[in-house]
Amino acid sequence: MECKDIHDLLTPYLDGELGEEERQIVEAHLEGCRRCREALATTAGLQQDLRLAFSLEADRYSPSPQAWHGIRQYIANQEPPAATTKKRGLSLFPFRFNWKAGLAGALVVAIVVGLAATVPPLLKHENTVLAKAAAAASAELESYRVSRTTISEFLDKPEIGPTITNREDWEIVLPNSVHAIQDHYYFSTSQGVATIVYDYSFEFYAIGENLYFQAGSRPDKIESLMNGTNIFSSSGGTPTIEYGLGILQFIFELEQLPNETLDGVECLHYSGVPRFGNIPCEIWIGKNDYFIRQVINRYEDDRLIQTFITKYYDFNEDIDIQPPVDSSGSLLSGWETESIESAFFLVPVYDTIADIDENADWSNPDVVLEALAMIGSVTEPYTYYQALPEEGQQAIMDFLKSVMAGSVGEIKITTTIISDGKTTVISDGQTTIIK
Amino acid sequence: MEDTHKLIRRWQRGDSQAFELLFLKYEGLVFRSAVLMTGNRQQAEDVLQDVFTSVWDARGSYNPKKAKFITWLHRITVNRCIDNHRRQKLRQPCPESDAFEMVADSDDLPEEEVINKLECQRLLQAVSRLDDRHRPALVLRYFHDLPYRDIAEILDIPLGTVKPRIHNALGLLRQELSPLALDNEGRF
Repeated sequence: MECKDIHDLLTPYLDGELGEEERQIVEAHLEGCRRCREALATTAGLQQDLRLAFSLEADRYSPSPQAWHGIRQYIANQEPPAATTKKRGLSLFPFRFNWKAGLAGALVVAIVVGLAATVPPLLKHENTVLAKAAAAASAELESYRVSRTTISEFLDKPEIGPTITNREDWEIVLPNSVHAIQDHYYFSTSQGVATIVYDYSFEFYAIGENLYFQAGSRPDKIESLMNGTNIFSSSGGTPTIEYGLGILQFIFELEQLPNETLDGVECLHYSGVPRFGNIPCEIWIGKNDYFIRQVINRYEDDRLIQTFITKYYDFNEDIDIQPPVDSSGSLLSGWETESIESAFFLVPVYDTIADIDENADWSNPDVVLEALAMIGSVTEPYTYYQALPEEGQQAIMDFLKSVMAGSVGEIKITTTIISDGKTTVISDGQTTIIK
Repeated sequence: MEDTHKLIRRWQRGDSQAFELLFLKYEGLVFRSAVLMTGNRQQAEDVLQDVFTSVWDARGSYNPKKAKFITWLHRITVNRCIDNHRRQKLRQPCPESDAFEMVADSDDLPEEEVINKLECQRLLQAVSRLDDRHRPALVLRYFHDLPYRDIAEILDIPLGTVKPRIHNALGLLRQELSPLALDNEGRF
């Protein structure tokens, strides 16, 4: 074959779409032809660039939460409603659970690991320590800081490096002021491909009704961070006394270890395995105030090891969270603002709890799906989760566990490393330097 | 989560709850396809609505033995994107791609990130100038990572046509990206 014929085969060759005979012909030709090897590299680079550009672009947008409303309206105008009765439905709420993100690999790990820290109602617990804590629960928590470090190690992707470390720092003044900074990298999943963009950092404030974010960062990213760090995550729940101790009854093989001193505070120290999965955790709880001080979760399979280290500190310190405005109230340069309602589409939790159907059939996947969507859509997901009947809470746990079992292990990793003005993309062991 | 096959059967019987669950499952796929194929967020929103109202209407005629649901959904999405694109061209001869303007608010980004975004923007804009035969093929192959066999089914073309289609699309893209492709305003 001549070079021209080979050129026509390079794209299907790279796409893995040639038959065995043609593939061998192409490879034999490439061995002896520098020009065709160059053409192959050019085509491979273009394909890689396209994948990256498509992936980054697609990740920037989510469908409008209003989309379903239009379709539902269309259906309603066409015919009478279906005979099935709908006690309460997703359609009541504008937010929808992001299945694409939710079902993809590591993010699910994070959710499930985090859910380990979600606490069922304290009241059922008869443990003496808990009873004591419940009695002391009058101590009010007003403010605190949280730092969460996530260390990820991709065992089958040595080219990514030994570990990737991400850090988030949060300041929280209850009930409704948050200031957060995420540092270092942004990890997203799309189409089963995880994209890690280094040097991605941003800062935002959520104060009362308003969200303030840096120009260039986008509310959907902040939303995903807030969702990820709100309740379904080990740093999520407010580390009140109830939270700190309630977490213990959620753990199998709970073992009390010798007390340890963390940052000068004597802590009760426990280890165990959360009710589902094999994600061991350790918890440190202040011996005197019962505030949760630290949680370490560790997830491990044969491809991925993730350690989540969450520290809570500066309880009731004087934390002042002010919007990024100057003395005249004008936004500082580089900042944007939007109402939280319009940015996040969250529904006030107390509007929804009253709708919970105590007699719902939790063996019906629709009911579980609906509850999950609600948890993702309300202002206080944990409060909603707690309000569900025990059977419902268990069904949600089981569901997330099954999702995790089905999705981890199929993930592909694309990594983008931006340094020294060069963008390096690593995908399935192939490295491309874009610029 | 409920088995997709069961949801499909329920939707075909006119169960709007099952249809809503199918929507939840696939809206991201359709919407992101539409963003990449139309290059415009608003058009993608329109396509999303068009696709799912068409899917609802076609619940009696879809035959799961003839095509996988997802393949069928891809086909409707591609067709709606092409329809939408044609309508837009009639209304506005040179629509600007808002979705691909990634650097408009990037004043505060590090230089290398801006460069990276510029590269992506340039590439996406070049894709948006490809015709309706080539653009969807690239999205199906390099975003959805579909094999040629599925692409042939979605685009309703012979398998043997997919190879040259994608090869030519990449070739056209290279031409678009070459400095000679600058238009008279100096814009790519």
